[in-house]
Amino acid sequence: MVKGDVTELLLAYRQGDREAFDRLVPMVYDDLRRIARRQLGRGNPDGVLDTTSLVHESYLKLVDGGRVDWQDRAHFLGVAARAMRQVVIAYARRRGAAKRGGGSRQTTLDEGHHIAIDSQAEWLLALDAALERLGGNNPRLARVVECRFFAGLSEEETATALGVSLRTAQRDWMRARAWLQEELRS
Amino acid sequence: MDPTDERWQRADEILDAALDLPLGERSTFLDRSSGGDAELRALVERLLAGAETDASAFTPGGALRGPLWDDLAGDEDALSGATLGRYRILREVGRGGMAVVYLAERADGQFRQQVAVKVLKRGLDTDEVVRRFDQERQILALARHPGLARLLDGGVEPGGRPYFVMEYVEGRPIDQHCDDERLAVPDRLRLFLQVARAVEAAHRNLVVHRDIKPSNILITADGHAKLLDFGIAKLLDPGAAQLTRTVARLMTPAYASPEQVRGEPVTTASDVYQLGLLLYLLLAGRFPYSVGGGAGAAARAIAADEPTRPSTAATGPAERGVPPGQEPRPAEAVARARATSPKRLRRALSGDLDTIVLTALRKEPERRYGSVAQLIDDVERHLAGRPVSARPDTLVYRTGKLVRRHAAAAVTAAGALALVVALTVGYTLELARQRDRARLAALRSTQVSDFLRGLFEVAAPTRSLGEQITARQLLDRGAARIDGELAGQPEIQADLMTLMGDVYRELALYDEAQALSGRAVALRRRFPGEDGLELAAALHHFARALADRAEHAAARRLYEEALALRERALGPDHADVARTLGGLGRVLAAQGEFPAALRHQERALAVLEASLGPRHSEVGLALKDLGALLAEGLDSPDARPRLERAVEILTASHGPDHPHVAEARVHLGKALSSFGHHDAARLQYESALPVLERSYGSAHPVLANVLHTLGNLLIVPGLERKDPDGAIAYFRRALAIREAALGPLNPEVGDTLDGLGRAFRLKGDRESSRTYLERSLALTEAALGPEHVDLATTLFHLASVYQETGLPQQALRLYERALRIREKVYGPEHESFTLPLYNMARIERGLGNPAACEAHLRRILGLHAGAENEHGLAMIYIDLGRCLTDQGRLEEAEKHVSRFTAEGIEPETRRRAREAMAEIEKAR
Repeated sequence: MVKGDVTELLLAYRQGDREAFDRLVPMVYDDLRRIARRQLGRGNPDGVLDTTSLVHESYLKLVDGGRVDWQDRAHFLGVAARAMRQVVIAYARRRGAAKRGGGSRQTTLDEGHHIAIDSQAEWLLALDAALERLGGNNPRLARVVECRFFAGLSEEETATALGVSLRTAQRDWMRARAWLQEELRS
Repeated sequence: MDPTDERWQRADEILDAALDLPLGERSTFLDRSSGGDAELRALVERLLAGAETDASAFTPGGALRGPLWDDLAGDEDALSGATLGRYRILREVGRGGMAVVYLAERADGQFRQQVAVKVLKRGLDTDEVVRRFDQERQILALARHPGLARLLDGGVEPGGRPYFVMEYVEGRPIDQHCDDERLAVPDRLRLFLQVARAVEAAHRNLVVHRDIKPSNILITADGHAKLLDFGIAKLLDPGAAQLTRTVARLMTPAYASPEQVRGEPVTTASDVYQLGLLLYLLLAGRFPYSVGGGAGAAARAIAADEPTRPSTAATGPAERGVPPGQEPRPAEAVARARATSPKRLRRALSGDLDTIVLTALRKEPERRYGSVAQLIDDVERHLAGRPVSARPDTLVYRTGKLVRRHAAAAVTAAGALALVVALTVGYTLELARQRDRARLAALRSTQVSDFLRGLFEVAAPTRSLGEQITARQLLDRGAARIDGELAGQPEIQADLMTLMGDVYRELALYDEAQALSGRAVALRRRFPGEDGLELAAALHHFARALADRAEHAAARRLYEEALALRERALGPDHADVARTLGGLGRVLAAQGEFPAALRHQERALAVLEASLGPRHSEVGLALKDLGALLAEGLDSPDARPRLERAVEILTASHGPDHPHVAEARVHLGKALSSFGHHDAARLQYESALPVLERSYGSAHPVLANVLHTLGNLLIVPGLERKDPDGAIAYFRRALAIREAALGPLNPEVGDTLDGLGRAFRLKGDRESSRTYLERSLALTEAALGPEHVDLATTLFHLASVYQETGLPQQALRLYERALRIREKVYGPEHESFTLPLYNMARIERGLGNPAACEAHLRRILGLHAGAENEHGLAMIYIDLGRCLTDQGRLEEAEKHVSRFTAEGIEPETRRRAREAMAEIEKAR
């Protein structure tokens, strides 16, 4: 992948170009998926994914380090966080399909709906939906969750990625957790 | 709870402020700020509690712990060690453009058999490709011959990708074998005949291989030749409607036949050419042309350069005719590998062998051997010392056209078209006759072309032109006239051919479009125009024509060439560069190269927006392509905003009834429903339907696909208001089309029958449901075989109907069958077993077999061992408790059930747990 495109988009995003963010996400998404698969293939019996290293590896691969500074890097991590969320959710959705048996034929008879098969996948989907609702009203809270939960960024990295103070990032994380637990309980 | 709720905002403000306060002061603060609203206060309290707990569910990076990723990892890298059906994957042994190949062995210990498992790459597993892959597999299974690697099995792996299992062939590539063993010419000929006979067998089964090259031909330890890799083999069944497209893999350009390079239809004659090439290599140790220097140069050489005679080449200098991927070898070495000397080798090859090889290598397919059988015959004659039939100038009968074109779209713009054609051809010929250089130049200018094209796009009412001729005839006439009357004006010819090629495209006459566009390119190579831009345009149009015919590899090369020319001459920000980028992006997407496709299309979009403005219809089209890539290739939620914008822009520029809008809506619908937004998806499909019907006609399978999808969307699980009657109506229409267009034994017909079965069941009409499901079952089994996952799905549906209509034994049998199929496909443990097992458990309990019930339920629990949240399996545990109660094992039962009677359990679950506890008490 030519580093140029991603780096340029990143720089543009940093300058405030929102569209650059939208264009970056799918590129990073694809890269993350592949790194994740590779990480899992390497004799990884517990299937534990080191999301932090994953996101950083993607950074090294996609961004031309010579042209960006540490703040750009943090911004990239923010993009990666969004992409990571998509990767996770895409996975969770596929588990749902697996439950129904795979293949190209659909099942619309779903009496088993009360049996939560892959509870983790279902929980993630519920989380994603809740996050979307949360983000509708307060986008920054959703971004914080993406950064901290889906990509495992630190408080400092999150703050820089979102361009807010450390205190704000910490506070946002607390509030976001509060709201999500409330949403997921009902 | 709606976050836009005022209460939400208020609560959030209070929460935010409260978090700043020391613990002691919070309570009073809450009292004050909630202003007596008890609910609000309680909410904020809960939020505060939530904010402060270090809930493990929300550990940073917590999304990805646990055995979650097995499924994601059901891909290239992690298949090693996995079980696919009967086989256990050992390791990856090869990787191509479209698929990955693994070495595997039988997992059931029955035989010590090693096999090759070829899995389609991730990203290429769309429904359409999968179905196609499957059909190919079925047909390839028929072409049995000792020289063809045998197809053994096939299926779908857990990630949904199709795979097939082939005999694992160990051996050396044929050219290497011959050289290592120093085989003399006659022995090489005999080995060649083995290969040729295998190809002949494939042809008898209507399969063209298209990629016969030394690395695809292995010689086993016992000296037998095996032809591998039907990866891009093409089916030639004239009966089957070629309505879905084959995804072509990257071919090795050097071994491509001239017609492949020119993008013309591929027939069995291509295989004859490639066999000729193989023979050339085996005999002369050289390649007939120089094919170094990149794909473009290779293509030109193949299409235009006359091959050197084998006898001459074999004894020629080392640097001439170096086979791809090899080092130059002097004539002595070549002869030595054939157990002879250069002089004797030349003598052996000259005469008949030269003629045979050159005949097979002719540029025009119809001038080669008419069939592989004829080639075999001549080689055998030579070996037997008899005269061969090939003559240096023999004309052989041409093979028929074996690729179907799409039905010509209704020519509603016939009048405008006729006008355009008449104008174009007449005007041009007139000018040419006048030999007016200035006006000739004017004609060639893009303004004129645009004007003429614009005429076509306007939907003008039909005008009579004196006689009743169809646009098609006009075009054909025009094409002939171009040839005849403009023979001395190659540049004008080229322009007109490009223009008319486009027009043919619009009429869906893809063969003609391709032929004309190809010829335009050939002409333009000689007259590339200023900065090569005219050539670039011709290349672009030709590439488009090829892409329409799914000749992706060739299209890609041409787009790349055009792109290089355009970028160099126009700079990176020109709209034409963007157009070629877009075309290239589409082809890359079709080849499954999604990251590259994404980059290209993003760039194309950016340039088009900048140069044409953000509301231009071409921007809309670019958004549509990009959205489709994101949705179907990358499964990304970013597809939705792109496609929504595409719909908006295209509607604004073309009106809501334009096919482009409909296509965008179909993509958007798919994107929406794959993310669970079924209602929104439905609206999109419903809008697209009437437009598609108008463009494709009411009998086209594309329409059936949309109808079928709509049927499903009306009864999707989780919908608040399902509409089985509406679904039935849609399914019925889809069924009629599919039966007529695809034949009554097509799996898609089975799919729609299954849909009808489901819809009737939801309506409560179990009789009809049964009838349809039984029909679907029979058909699906006939079409897909007894071990297909789709069959398992339908079995499951029918079983649940039986279960409801008081036929428990039959239901059990069908569930068992479904289960066995899934076991075969997915291995001994897979979550798709859960629902059949659960229903079987319920049936067994109803029949008074609690032990069997228990066994099934325990198996389900075993499938999900290690699941983090056991509450998801609550129902299973509770039912297990019931089974144990039935068997009098009350202690055990209580252990499982009592957990779910506690506080904090979801109310419905608790209720059922309490009921189960009551039964336990009663039994005591």
